[in-house]
Amino acid sequence: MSRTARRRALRAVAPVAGLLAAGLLVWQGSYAAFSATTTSPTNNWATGQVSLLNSTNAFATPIGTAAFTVANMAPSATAVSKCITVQSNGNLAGNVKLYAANVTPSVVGTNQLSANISVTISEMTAGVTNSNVTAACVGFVANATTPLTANLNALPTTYGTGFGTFAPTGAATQYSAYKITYLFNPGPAVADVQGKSASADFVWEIQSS
Amino acid sequence: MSTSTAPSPEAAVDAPPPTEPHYSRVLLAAGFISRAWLWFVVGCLAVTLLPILIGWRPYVVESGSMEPRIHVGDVVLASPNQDPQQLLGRVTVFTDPAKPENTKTHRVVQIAPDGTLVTKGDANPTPDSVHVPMSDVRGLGRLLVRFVGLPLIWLQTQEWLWLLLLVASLIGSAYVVSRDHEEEPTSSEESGDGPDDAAGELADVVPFPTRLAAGGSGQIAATSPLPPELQRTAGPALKPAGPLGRWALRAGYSVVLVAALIIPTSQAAFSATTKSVGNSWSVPNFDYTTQVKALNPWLYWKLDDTGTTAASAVTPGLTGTYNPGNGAAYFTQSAAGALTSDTPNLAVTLNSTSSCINTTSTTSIAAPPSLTEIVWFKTTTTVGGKLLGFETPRTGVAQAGNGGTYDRHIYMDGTGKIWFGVYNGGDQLLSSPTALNNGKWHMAAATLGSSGMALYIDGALVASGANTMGESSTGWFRAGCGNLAGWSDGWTGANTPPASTTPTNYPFAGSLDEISIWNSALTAAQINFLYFTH
Repeated sequence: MSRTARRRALRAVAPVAGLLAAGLLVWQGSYAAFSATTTSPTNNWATGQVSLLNSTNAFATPIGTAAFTVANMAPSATAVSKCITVQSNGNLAGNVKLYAANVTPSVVGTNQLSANISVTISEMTAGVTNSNVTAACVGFVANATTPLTANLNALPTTYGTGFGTFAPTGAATQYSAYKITYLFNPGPAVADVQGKSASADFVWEIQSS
Repeated sequence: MSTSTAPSPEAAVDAPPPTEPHYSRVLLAAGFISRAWLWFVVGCLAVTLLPILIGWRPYVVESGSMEPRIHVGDVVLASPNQDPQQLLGRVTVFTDPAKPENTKTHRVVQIAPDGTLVTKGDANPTPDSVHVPMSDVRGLGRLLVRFVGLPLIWLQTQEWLWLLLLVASLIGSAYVVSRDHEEEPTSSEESGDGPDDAAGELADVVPFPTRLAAGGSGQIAATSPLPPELQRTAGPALKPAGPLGRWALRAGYSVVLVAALIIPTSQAAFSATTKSVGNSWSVPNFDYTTQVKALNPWLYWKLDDTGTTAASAVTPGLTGTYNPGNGAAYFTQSAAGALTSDTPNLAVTLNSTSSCINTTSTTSIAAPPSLTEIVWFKTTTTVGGKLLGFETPRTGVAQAGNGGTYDRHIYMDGTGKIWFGVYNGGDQLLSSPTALNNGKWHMAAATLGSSGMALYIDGALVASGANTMGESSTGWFRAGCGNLAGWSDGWTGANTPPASTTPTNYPFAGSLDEISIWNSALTAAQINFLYFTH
């Protein structure tokens, strides 16, 4: 075969090789990503991660314990506060929002206990460490963010409507503290809420920015 | 075609001596690699953009929460799909319900009972907090083109070095291809695209982005359709590759720009949560009677009686007498009471103008300087009447100034408003703003003490005054009847009390329950709480 012929053959093969490689790449990528049988078995943190913990269980696992366990509650003009410190230890920047979940009773109505517990939430985003704000809120200094006040069954329940300005940079472990205050002072106009109970989870969620 | 500045083809042919096989072989290999690279790029772009013709949309993945399967810079091609069952378990592109301005690519892991989709990034530990309604689904991931979106990512993150390397590799490849091509003099006649000369090609190609930028959006639109270019590249593939480098380079340029314009990005955002779970609040069933007793009243009649004696619920305490004694004639006992927390929940209805409940003891007491009176009542009367008060004599009605004194009383006027009256050199009066003769149980509470006087209805403070003293006298508490002569100040409605010189009984036509009296003023919180526990 002449040099020219070889050259021509190579030139003819080159596009085929290039296109084949492109096709292989697409096929492989699609097969791996879109195969219907794959679930989500992986915890690959190769490119980054976000992670939150909180002080209700000493930052042990993401699922903390209750800050409030109030039995035999009587009407009172005195509000009760608890503080929870949230730790962000991911390596991506993100925004943290606080919202409520599993609020019961969730029904909106004045006859519900959850409609008669007023909750106020404020935050402290600067100068918080893992221990300088106690559960009893010693050391808590609210930042300038307007506190959120709503009845327990009217608290935000989604990330998008959640409360807070804590924005971890991902550069280091960072902390923010939240003061949650409840007031049960339903007043005489309220129907009977005796013998009733209410419950809620407080959720902090970070989404990478 | 701008060829004016190009060196002559002869000069170019002279450069690589055809008699040097080693050099030629290197060029041959470089040409192959360059060609393959350019075709590879073209192929990726074709796969990315051609499906647009059948309604699929490409999305460049911006973040890595679908690792390790989908990386930053990959392009997901999604076909429209509105069948949740087909989306289940698969990678889906959707408008982020939490941030509607963003598009998200996550896997559907569950269909919620309400028909919304529960989604999750493969690399996220928890599902996304906001469920995705079907209306937000943009499509089902069908094809993944690796790396193609990277130039766009580099553009966004301003990683100019990588962009520069990419562009340089395209230009370099095109150059190598054209040089390789020059070595074959016979091929030029097949190209059909004028003289095949590298400099000419570059001169033609380099101004391209400049034209594009200068041409404005119309120009971009004109250059963006890839299919015609691909149709043409399909031809030259079998021809000697002169135009190939040019087309590849053009494609490289245009597609990076076009992709930047038409391929929307999609976030695969990282998220994580932490919770304080199981916060709970509960209110017990408080018992009104227990709570009243806990406040140590001086007198407590529950009026659950069936005989002539109103039993005292506290010790020590004073009993009362249903007077006159025949309960059957003047009282309906064991009527339904005011409390829901009481067993039995009974009350007494006064059904005669002579019905009254007096203290059994005939020993008078000094009028307490501080006191709290609480009485539950239910009526529809329109002529008013006395519910509870401190009076002399113990029974019957006496004239003021003739041995008769009566103040510290709670009474209803002709329109159903409740009044609390104390005599301190003049009538000191508080009244409820609204009528309460509506046939329902209400709690009236009145306090007098060093901080003034106050009237509460159903646990809420409705009126208060600065007066701290009542009439200094001795007498007895009584319920359901008594003199109101002279207490016409502010009285509205029928049956206005006469002047104080005319003793007139004002019996209360209605039901009474749970009468309690303290010789001290309870606080607003205590009264509020007592009402709460009823």
